[in-house]
Amino acid sequence: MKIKVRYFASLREKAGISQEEMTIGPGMDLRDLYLDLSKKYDFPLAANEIKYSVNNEYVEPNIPINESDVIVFIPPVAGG
Amino acid sequence: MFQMTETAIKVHDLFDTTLDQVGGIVTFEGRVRNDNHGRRVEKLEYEAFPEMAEAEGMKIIQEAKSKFAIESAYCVHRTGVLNIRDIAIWIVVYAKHREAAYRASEYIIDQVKTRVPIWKKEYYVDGQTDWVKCLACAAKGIPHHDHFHHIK
Repeated sequence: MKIKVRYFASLREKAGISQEEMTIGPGMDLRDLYLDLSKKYDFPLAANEIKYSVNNEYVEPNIPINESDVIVFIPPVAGG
Repeated sequence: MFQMTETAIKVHDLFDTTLDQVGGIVTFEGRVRNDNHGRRVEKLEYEAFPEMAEAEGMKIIQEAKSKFAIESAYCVHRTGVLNIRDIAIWIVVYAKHREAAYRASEYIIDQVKTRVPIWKKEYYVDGQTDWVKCLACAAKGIPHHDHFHHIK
């Protein structure tokens, strides 16, 4: 299935891109996807250090990914 | 209302002066300071996930309205490069009485710091940079940030 991943802050810098579209196999959850991309881009944050967003809502890391989902891995926030 | 802005926050333009029922107004102004745990800071850069930041910020304002006896609340957060003394965040809460306004103001800033997807990169005088994070607070859901950690 085709999905889009957007990157922000430290993850954007490590990936060197702001977003990408990719095709993934069935049965993959968000944490699996993060671990795969973390190996590819050498992300500075472990899977348990980030939060997960699908289609602009916070979600749990173990939810399945669906066709056309827009996924964002949320590094620890630091607003204010 | 919650807004993100790329331009300087001009506080005096933001007050609502039409609320006849309001007896207490509390504001919080978060500014860029020149040091973080002994490291001299030259400037900051705030980056946001804009769609989600605005949606999450609006939820926080609505929560404040339902939890506390306030009339209205507004929060604006900067993005982009900020210099020392620039305003990073400004909150105003209007209420009949001061206690609710104080409590709602604290609730809003605490929640913004833990939930709204905004990130802060510090540029130090020595030329180094760091993305600020606070994993301990984030993991435990602790809202108060009186200390900082950094992503190397």
